[in-house]
Formats: sequence, structure tokens, C-alpha cells
Amino acid sequence: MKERTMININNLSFSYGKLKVFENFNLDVPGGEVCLITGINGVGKSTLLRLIAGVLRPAGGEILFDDKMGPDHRRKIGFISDILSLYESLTVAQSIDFHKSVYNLDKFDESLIRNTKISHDQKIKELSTGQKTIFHLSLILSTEPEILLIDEIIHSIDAYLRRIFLEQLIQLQSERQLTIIMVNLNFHDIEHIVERVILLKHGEIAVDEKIDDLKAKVKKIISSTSPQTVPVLSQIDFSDHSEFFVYPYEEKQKGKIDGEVVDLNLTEIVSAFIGGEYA
Amino acid sequence: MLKKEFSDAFKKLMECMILLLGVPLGVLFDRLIIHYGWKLSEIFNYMFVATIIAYPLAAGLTIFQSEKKNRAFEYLFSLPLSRFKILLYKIAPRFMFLLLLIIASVFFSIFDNIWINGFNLIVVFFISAFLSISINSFVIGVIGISFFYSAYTQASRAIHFIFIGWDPAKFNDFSTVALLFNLLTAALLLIPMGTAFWMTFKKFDVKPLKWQLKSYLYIVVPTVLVFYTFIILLFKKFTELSG
Repeated sequence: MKERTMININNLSFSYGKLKVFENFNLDVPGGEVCLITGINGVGKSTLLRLIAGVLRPAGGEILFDDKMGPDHRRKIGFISDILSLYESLTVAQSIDFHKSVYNLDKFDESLIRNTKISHDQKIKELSTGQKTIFHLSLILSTEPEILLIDEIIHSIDAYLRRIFLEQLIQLQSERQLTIIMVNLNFHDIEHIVERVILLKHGEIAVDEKIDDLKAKVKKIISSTSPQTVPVLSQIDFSDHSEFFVYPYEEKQKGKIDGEVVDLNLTEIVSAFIGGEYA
Repeated sequence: MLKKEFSDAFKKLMECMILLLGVPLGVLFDRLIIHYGWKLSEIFNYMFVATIIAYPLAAGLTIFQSEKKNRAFEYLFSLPLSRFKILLYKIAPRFMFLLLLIIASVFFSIFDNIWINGFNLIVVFFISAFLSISINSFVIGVIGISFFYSAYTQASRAIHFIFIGWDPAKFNDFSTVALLFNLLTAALLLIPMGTAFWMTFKKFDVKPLKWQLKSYLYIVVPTVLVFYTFIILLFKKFTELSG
């Protein structure tokens, strides 16, 4: 089901003035995959989403989409940026009208915003960040996108709405094989829907693993001596012992390690990689 | 989108129309304080001319105001709209209201002594629109428009003077020949400016402005420099000839 490449990034180059963000960057995303892009601040995660969404133009290379996206692929891409870009002076009703006219939509599904206290007469600038996020998501989901690009905004929604949103996302993903790329630094809520984790480092892919593989390969070793047989990503020292975050770990190495091997959740795994970069 | 742009253009027109409040204020000022005996029609003419000049300037310069103010370029550019369509939707309503104002000025000129060159208003509108992409401050925008508009009017006069053999007695700003030279000069200024604007807007994205204006500046700055060089050289010659 997920063999078809939905997004094909070839030799992508992009820079902000003299600051190179990507040079000959390549990435394939199969249709229906839920992909998490992570990395330290400023590594280019949001830039990558903006390039895929078409709101930034690459300096070189190309971003290709599956034929089923049609001639204007932007019609099938839903993008929510971290700045929640909308026309703030419009009311909710006017924004819905605007969106419907641009996408030639007959109807607008209000099921998501029905759970919020958003009124149609409210101006967008009067909405809270969480309300704005939910409203933006409603606008995007009404266009029935094939690709959903979500940039670090899920944490701005309150726990109740976040649950509703994620439930809807899971439902959509299973019903329509939606391809989702998320940029996030807070993984607790999304861990169960993410299938692939991509960690960016210096404009390149440092880690690209299925989440189950990643969980099998990244471990925490509690020991008083540094493990010799497996590379250490980062470590935290305590008075009587240290915690070593290692990658890639293999089960067969267990016997050779002096210490306790502990499984990690996604937040801890990413922290281990990011911690290593800051060290 | 057209509906939103019509609404924005109409709001801008209404903002400029606020200048007409100067009419009752002017009357009150005259009656209560200065007692010059200004006629209502005189004050109206002044304020109407001010409104009609302010609109093309404000409408052109603020063409991307809602995107700049709300950081909505990201939203706009993620929509399935071509750059040509975006521009058309932005310019058409504003231009339509400008034409209505010009028609209104023609209508008022029948009854009173209002002389407004509608073509020059159109030139102001396009200069403002073409500068709008590069300028974020309204005050700097007005200064920039004055600079470019002055280049246009002075170059048009300079060409006119060449044509009439440097004879000030033959010079008439409202003649058919003057209009033709206005057309020619406007084309010489607006075609490069419009090309620079389009080339930039076609590739415009959400990067900071300073990294996107290279080709725009490479065309617009030399164009206006050529205009001023031409004006200075010709008026220098005119001064020599007229002794």
C-alpha cells in the first residue's frame, strides 16, 4: 500500500543569504506514511516543510509529487505553519468563505470547530492560539488534502482538542491513506501515530528509521563505565553512575555490556540525539 | 479572493474619503476663526483633489498590506492560485475604484473648476503598486513614489521641450501633444518597473525581503537614474539656450 512515492525530493538546495540550509538534499516519502522530522533548532525542519508546501522556492534541485496530486499539487497539500498564517482581519465566517472560494468548495466541515468556542463573527486575531490552530486545521481538512504538513503547532492546542484532532488525524490517515509530515519537538501525543523518524543534522539526514527499528536501536545504558562495543550518542553523569544513550544498539551486544539496558520512548530517543549534538 | 480584495480596496477608498471631512471642518474653521470667507465649493475642491490623489497612492502602496501585516504571505502562497491570478485579483478591484474616482472627477469638473489629469493618477497607482513589493513603510513609500512620479513628470516635460524647440511660450501641460509625451514617458518608466515587479513577484516567497529584491533593484534603480540623468542634462541645455 505504501510503495508509491508521494514526495520525491531530488538534490534540493536552499539557503538564507549566505547561510546554506540544504545542499543536494534527497528524501522520498511514500504515500500514506506518517513521518516525523526532528532535529535541533535552526537545522531546517520548518524550512523543509515550507519548501514542500511551495511557500519557499528552492535554489536548486526539485520536489516532485505523485501524479495523483494532479497538475496543481498545492490543491492537495495542507500546510499549517508554526506562525499560523491567516488573514487576521477577517472573521471566521469570512475566512471560511475565502477558503471555499479559492478551493471551489460547496460545503465546509465544521465538526472540528464545533468542539471549540469559536464563533463565526469572531475575527481571526481574536482567537487564541489553540483556537486558531484548530480553525486552520479545519480549513485545511475541508480541502481533502493528500499530504498534510504540520509544523510544531500541536502542542499549542489544549489536551481535549489535541485528542480530538489526533483522533481525526488517525481516522483520516486510515481511511484515505493521508501522507503526513510533522515537525515537532514534543512527541508524547504523536508517538503512537508516527511511523518514520527523520533526524536532520547540518542540512542532511542523520537518522532515517522506522519508529520500531529506532526504538530497538537506541537504548539507555546505566553503568559506571562507558560501553566499548556500541557508539555513545550522549551521556548524563551522576555521582555514582552515568546514563549512556547509545546507537545503533543490537540485541546480540547485550551480553557484552556491563550495565542495565533500558528501552526509551520517542521523546527520550530524540533527546538523546539532540543532546549529543549540543554536547 | 476577489471578494476580499474588493472589500480591502473599498476600505482603502473609504479611508481616503475621510479627507472629505476636511470640508465641514474647513467651513467651521473659516466661520469661527479666520473669517476669510472661503466658499464651500472651494474647500470641497481642495479636499476632493486631495482624496483623489491619496487613493491611487494608498491603494497601490498597500496592495500587499494584509499579507505583510498578518504574515499571511505563507497562507496566500500555499493556496492553489497562480501568481498571475493573485496579482490580477489584487490590482483589478483597486484599479476599478480608481477609474470610478476619475469618472467622478470628470463629472465634478463639469460643474466646477477641478482639473485632474486622470492619466497621471493611473501612473501614480502603478508606480505605487510596483514599489509596494519592496517597501514596508508607508512614509518611505510616499517619498519613493514622489521621487519616481517626479522623474516621470519632469522627463515628460523635457521630451516636450525638445519637441517644441525649447520655447516655454509653446508649452501646454494639457495639450494633446503633452498627453502623448506623458504616455511615452509613462511607458518608458512603467515597463521596466512592471517587468522588475513581475520578475520578483513570480518567484516571491516567504524569505526575508532583502534576499529577494536583487533583480528588482538591478532594473528599477538604473531606470530611475537614467531618467534623472536625462532630465538634468536636458534642462541644463535648456538653461544654456534660454540664457
